Amino acid sequence: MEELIAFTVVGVVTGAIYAVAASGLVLTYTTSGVFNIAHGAIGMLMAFVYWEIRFDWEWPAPIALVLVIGVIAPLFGVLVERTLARNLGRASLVSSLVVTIGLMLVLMGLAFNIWPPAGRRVPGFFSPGGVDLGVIVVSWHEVIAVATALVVAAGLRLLMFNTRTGVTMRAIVDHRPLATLTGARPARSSMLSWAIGSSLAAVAGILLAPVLQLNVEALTLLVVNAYAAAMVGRLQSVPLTMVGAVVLGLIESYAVGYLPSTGVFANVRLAIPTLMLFVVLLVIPEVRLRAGSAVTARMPKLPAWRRSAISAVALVAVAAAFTTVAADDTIGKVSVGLALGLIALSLVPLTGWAGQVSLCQLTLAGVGALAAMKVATDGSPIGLVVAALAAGAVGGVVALPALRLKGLYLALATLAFAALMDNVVFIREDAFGNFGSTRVERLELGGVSFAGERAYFILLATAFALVAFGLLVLRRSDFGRRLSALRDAPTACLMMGMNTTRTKLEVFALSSAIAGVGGALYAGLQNSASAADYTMFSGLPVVLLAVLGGITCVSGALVGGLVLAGFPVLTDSISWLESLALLGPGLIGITLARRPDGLVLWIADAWAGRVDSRQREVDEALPATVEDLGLAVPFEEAHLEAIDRELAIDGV
Amino acid sequence: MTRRAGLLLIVLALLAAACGNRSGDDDTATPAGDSDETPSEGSGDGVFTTDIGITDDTITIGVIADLTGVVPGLFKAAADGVEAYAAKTNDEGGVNGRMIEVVEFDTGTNDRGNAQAYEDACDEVFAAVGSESAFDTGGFEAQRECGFPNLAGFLTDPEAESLPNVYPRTSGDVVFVGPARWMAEEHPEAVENAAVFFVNAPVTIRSAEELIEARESIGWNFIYEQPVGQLESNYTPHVIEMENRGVQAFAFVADVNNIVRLQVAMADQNFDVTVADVNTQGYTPDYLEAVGPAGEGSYVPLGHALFEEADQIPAMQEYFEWLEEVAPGEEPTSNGLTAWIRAALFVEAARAIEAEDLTRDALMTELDTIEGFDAGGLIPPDDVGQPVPDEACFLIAQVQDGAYVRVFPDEGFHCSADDIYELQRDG
Repeated sequence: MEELIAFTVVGVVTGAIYAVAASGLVLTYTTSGVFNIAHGAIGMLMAFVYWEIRFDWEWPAPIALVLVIGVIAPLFGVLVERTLARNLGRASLVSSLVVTIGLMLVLMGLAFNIWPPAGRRVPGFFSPGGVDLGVIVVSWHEVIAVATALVVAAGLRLLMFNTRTGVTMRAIVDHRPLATLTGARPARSSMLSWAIGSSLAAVAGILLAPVLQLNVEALTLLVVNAYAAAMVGRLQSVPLTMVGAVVLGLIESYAVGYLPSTGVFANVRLAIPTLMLFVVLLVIPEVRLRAGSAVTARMPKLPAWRRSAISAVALVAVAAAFTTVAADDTIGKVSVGLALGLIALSLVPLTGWAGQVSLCQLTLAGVGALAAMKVATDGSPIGLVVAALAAGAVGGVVALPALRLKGLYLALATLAFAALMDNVVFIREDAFGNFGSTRVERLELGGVSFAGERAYFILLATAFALVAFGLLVLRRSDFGRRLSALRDAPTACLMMGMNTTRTKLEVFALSSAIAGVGGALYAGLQNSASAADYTMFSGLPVVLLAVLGGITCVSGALVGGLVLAGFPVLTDSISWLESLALLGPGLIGITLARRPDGLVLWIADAWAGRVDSRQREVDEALPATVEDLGLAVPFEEAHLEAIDRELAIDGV
Repeated sequence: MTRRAGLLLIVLALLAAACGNRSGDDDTATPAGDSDETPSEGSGDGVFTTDIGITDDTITIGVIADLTGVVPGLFKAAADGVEAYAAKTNDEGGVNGRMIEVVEFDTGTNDRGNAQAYEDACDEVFAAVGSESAFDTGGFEAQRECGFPNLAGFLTDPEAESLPNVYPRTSGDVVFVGPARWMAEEHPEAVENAAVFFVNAPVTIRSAEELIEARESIGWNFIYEQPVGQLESNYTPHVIEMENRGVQAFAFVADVNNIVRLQVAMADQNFDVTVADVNTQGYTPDYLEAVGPAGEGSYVPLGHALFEEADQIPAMQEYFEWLEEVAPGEEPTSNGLTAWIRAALFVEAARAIEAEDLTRDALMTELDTIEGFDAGGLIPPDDVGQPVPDEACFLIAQVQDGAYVRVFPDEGFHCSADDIYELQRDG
């Protein structure tokens, strides 16, 4: 009994910390419409800032706390809102996710640069010491964590339901034009939302730091555990989020005490937060989370057959020419871009064309690499076939939740699947080997070996060209049209009798098979298949680069991959860029808020001199607000034109 | 027009970067894996250009390390250690008239980067010295195919460890149990109620299995075996479980961060164990800083001399001085010292060979014959070419008042043939 009480107390304490982290997520989502993947990273950064002020500068704790939670964090939140997040709530789901993924990568890179890994002591508040309950000592820090969670829950509940500011914030997310007509100011509300969200992230970071130590990755990613709690509250209810957090803390605590610590149970224990997220997503009733589409990037004009074929051949030719002028190490680095580009290509039919958001493509690539490795480490092409089949089959299983979930729910379910694979499958000795990594021979096809850097580069380019060409062929087909319909009008599809279930399963399987082939080729490039190459966290930049290049066009995946691979090449050659290496992909990602179509279409527009008109189209796509109608800002000629367009008054 | 010009500039910058690397390569282009190529005469007045990386007056060696990537500067200490010893050697007049030049190859902290680094090193340098990377599985093929001397700081790939061109030779089939045996003799009751924690990753799981097997053969009994995640939310439940089960000793196969987290949670619960084995990971100023009072009494087994005893070991003082010279402000570390020691081994072997005979093969032949190498007392005497030594040696330090203090033996290292445990299980 004493043991049970002890584990219960610990569970509640852990749950309290999760609750603070999850509450910040819920607040930002409820009041700005953005699911902030960077929430943990903001908390991590603020924990480091707190350490700097409190322990490095040795300022008193109260001053450091007020400065970080009351001044720096809110200002940072405002800065993020003004520069990145304004209007993000109205952008597509993919855009908002990718921008916050980019922000997360930037903040992690910043933290690594400012505070390189080193021993930094962060004692808890009033440490050592606490309340001795007989069966367990609850430290003062933990007491403060529980009290903070309660205060935060009560405070947020009051703010959102009992103050005009809070109600206004929720109203703006719920129906922006209507709220604005009644006098709400979206800009101010959004700024306040990010300021409070950032402060809550700081509170969570500071509370977590003594438990996790000042570790960039741990502090950033532990918030992923809190997603389950946030989803219990359906990203709307703070009290339910609290309940979810405590339940999660309790399950984790009891698991240590009562689950066997060896065998499969060990892996299950470590996967509890993601298992819970998966279950919660499937079980709780889906509520309308946000307006708008998952993807708003425009579909590019479908090129003619001949042009597609010429482009595919040209890609291989350019790749072959490149190998004659570039050094092996440069080819090796660009090859990484091609391989990742191929994996990113798998997102084009799935997310770009069908509107199904997946954050687990690199995991599926890992399944492909694993399958290929199991049947053929000697470079046999059978490996590629098996990779496609295995990843396709697993993708079909992943698609099952997709039959019920959509939008953010689906995105988080795929994220949970990726985390599950990390903790339960890839980690096993019989997966990637005793040391988490197994050597893999490069492909040998019909007696032709692709072992050399140049040959493998051309192979990757050929694979990319073939898959891209195949996808373009597919887009012309009935299946391609069904995908577009699924993205643009899923309800209409149902009404017209289209079998959306089958279409979803097919596109998931196809996309996964492409990712699987990409993963197998990536393993060949690395000469090893390694669990570390296919983690959930590593997969986030792949999504980012796919959107960066242009999620709706096959060449976008190529451009995204090459941009990612181009950074190491540039930083090798231009030394002053070195410090940007960690920040680069993230910095590019956060610029996407303004370019949801991706680089390829933007470059095409730039080349044709259509950027201004295209940007105007993007601006026009946003719903009109009261400010635009002259109540809060001066009425200008441009507004009149916008209203004319809105009312379809042409030439009057 | 301006936009088009901008786009073209970006493309040109990328091409320039690619072509720039190419031209850099041409200066040193030599076929990979061609270590047996016939020594050619130098292009200048001398006749001593004997192998790749050797000129009349220089020997170019390479250090392959995780310098950038997900954890920037992970093994920068290795590069610093080799650079420091090269600077010392050059200050003394070099190796038989040749100065040592060091090229740092960055793995980018990934498999592919490691492979590329070894391929480049094979083409450009005479030998790899003091290399340290967590991703050398990627570079295995390059190491094997090249066959150049690799005096590695450490290797994580057990198969790479057994390559014929890797020095000092080691064997993955044995575990040195000296420190664990000493702890068992000092605290026999405690080690009968031991816990072992390990990060839930294949490599650490394997290490933990080996640790358990080896230690159980000398009297340890593990009553709590627990894998932990990198995102372990709270160590307190583990502490409760340890307390409930009567754990009195623990070992940890993990990074410093996880060890610190467990010990801080133990301190919060006022729970202490008799034997806290924090392994060599615990021998860093970072560990002492992060763990604070919670680390008091922890045992740190070491295979090299203590930094704290530098006043008794001139070679250690030299390491400090030259490290400060090449990397001002950097703290001495075990990884850095290991790289320094490998550079010392390289220089000793190279100096034993006549300048005109210095080839990769000659170096490896010389390395195979070196016995009792101790880098001036920094490590126990080592027969470099022998995979399994006759004796295993160690010393043990303990954290006392926030500092490392030697507890066994009174001086030098304790060596015993009994402390080499041969693993029984398959693989």
